[in-house]
Amino acid sequence: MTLNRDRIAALIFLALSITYLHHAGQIELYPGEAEDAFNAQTFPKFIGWLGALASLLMLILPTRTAAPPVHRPAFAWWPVISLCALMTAYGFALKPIGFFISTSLFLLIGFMILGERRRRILLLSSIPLAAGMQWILHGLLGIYIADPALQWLGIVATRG
Amino acid sequence: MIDGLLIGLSTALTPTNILMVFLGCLAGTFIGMLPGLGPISAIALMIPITYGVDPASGLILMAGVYYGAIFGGSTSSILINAPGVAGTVATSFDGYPMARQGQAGKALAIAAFASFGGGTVGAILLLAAAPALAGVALSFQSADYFALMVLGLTAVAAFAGRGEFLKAIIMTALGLALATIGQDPLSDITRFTFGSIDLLDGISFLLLAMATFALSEALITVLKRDDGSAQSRTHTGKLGALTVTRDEAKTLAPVVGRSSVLGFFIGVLPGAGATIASFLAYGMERNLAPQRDKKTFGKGSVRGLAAPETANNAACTGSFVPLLTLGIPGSGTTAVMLGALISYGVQPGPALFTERPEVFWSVIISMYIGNCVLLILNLPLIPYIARLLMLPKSLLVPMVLFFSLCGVYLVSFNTFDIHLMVIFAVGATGLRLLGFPMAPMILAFVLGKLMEENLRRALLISDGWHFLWERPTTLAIMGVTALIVLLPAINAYRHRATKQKTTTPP
Repeated sequence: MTLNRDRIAALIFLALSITYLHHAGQIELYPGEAEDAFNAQTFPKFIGWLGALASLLMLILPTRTAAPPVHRPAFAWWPVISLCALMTAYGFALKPIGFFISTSLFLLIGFMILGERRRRILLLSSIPLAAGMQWILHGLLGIYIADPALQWLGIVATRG
Repeated sequence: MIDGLLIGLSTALTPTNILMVFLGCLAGTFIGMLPGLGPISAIALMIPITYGVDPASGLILMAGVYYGAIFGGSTSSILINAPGVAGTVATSFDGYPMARQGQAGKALAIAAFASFGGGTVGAILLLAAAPALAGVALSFQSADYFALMVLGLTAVAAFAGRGEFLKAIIMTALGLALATIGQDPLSDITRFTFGSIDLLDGISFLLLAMATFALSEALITVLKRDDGSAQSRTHTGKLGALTVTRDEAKTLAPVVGRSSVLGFFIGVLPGAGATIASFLAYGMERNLAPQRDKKTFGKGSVRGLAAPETANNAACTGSFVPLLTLGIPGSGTTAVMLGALISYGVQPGPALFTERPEVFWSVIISMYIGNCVLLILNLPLIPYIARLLMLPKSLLVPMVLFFSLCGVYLVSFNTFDIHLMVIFAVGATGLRLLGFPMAPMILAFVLGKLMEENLRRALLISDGWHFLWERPTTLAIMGVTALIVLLPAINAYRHRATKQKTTTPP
């Protein structure tokens, strides 16, 4: 039995299913509930067994091995990793520096990661979009988004 | 039924809802055109907007987006041979050769008329089938619903493709497991939250849909360096006339009729849907075509273009039957719609027909209006919308990422959701690269809570698992499920046995 990509994935899912089953058994129950036909553990246990059985079958059954592609595509990992880091940073920046600045920076850096270098395009595609969204949310839909930077500049009023 | 139609007409024909259909079709066409973004992403991106409107308008908008996305997918299949949606892959077989022959306009017009035909026949069949099935479904009990959900999930897995059944089942288990995170709705016991307050309410459906579809599709586009090389092949500059001749219309009428009925019934089946319907219709037309026409298939045949286009639209309409009447989605796209409906407090199912007739009927009516909008408004706009295909990926991808993140953040105002989205997007991207399908996961996630609720009720009423064979309806549904699971295994075993027989020397 060769350990191909599918089998490695099956092995990971088997481990996940067993961990899930273990945690399902740890779910706290009210006194006397353990004897009931159904309790908070029943469905998770059913799912855990389903996942474990399917992964085990995938692990042991013969796999359909596809012919390797003639030209294996070279994946562009760096832009993807950079975009994921950018999204994470956006999540951290949204509250402290506010919607407008963080969104403008998110778009600007995102465009740059994907190879856009024309300054005019970079600025015209990021700042007006962030400003437009801020206006739609604040001005048009009346959705309050805390924006400390714009509040400090006096552009956006504080709530109340 | 007449009363229902009138309620539907009065709801669907309000200026707001007509605007919703129009906007939905337009937005769906645009998003569907972008290679990589399918109807699920298109609908997921629209959900935050629909939170601000009433459920009927929200569902009307989403139905418009669904149709628009399928039509948009056909446009990119025809113009650049890059189907934005799996359901329009068969469209590119003859649509793209037509575009290369300078008949892109004709191909687009045929696609639009065929979609209109498929949608119209589908809407008429839905009009007849949905209330009838809703009537039958009223007699269903928890055990039957549980069995139906098991059938739906199994069928989606079975249709995932050869050799992919186990992967789809694993994804189903993953979706169900994710649905159990948070407080147990009945006992309020917390499950799998690991002490995090942010997970107490469970994982939001919108978050999961956006992360696993919109975000991961955008990331895969970047990963595969799909940087718009297709743009050089775009035939937007020389579309040609957007007309169909009388002879072509005569040839196409029976094709549209046959493919509509086939597409609708395949769409009704859980797990099947637009992709299978379009390929089957294509195959059926190729078999039925006279010898002379058969040779033109794959080289720009109008029949080969019309058949899949009709069938995929009719299948989209058909997929609304189980959603509206049983509250059980048959596809990933309708699962996303079900999730959105539940979040506005509407529970689709047989009761929807009596309790919220305005939602039920207005969706059916708006489907027809959506088809008219696609034909009258979208077709003439295609040359302009198609220019948007020229928008470079370097600008488009960050915008898709932003709208996805923003859509989720604006519902919860919790930055934890953004981080959770990144984690799910990375996981989904990896799983997709390994060939794990996402639709069974989202379908299981949406059905998870309903399934647990029905299982709980059935088990408590019958005090044991014998509810699975007590009622003939439950038994019949479980029987079909068992057949779906066992048939591929039996076929594979027989295939292997015959192969062994032929290879073993006497």
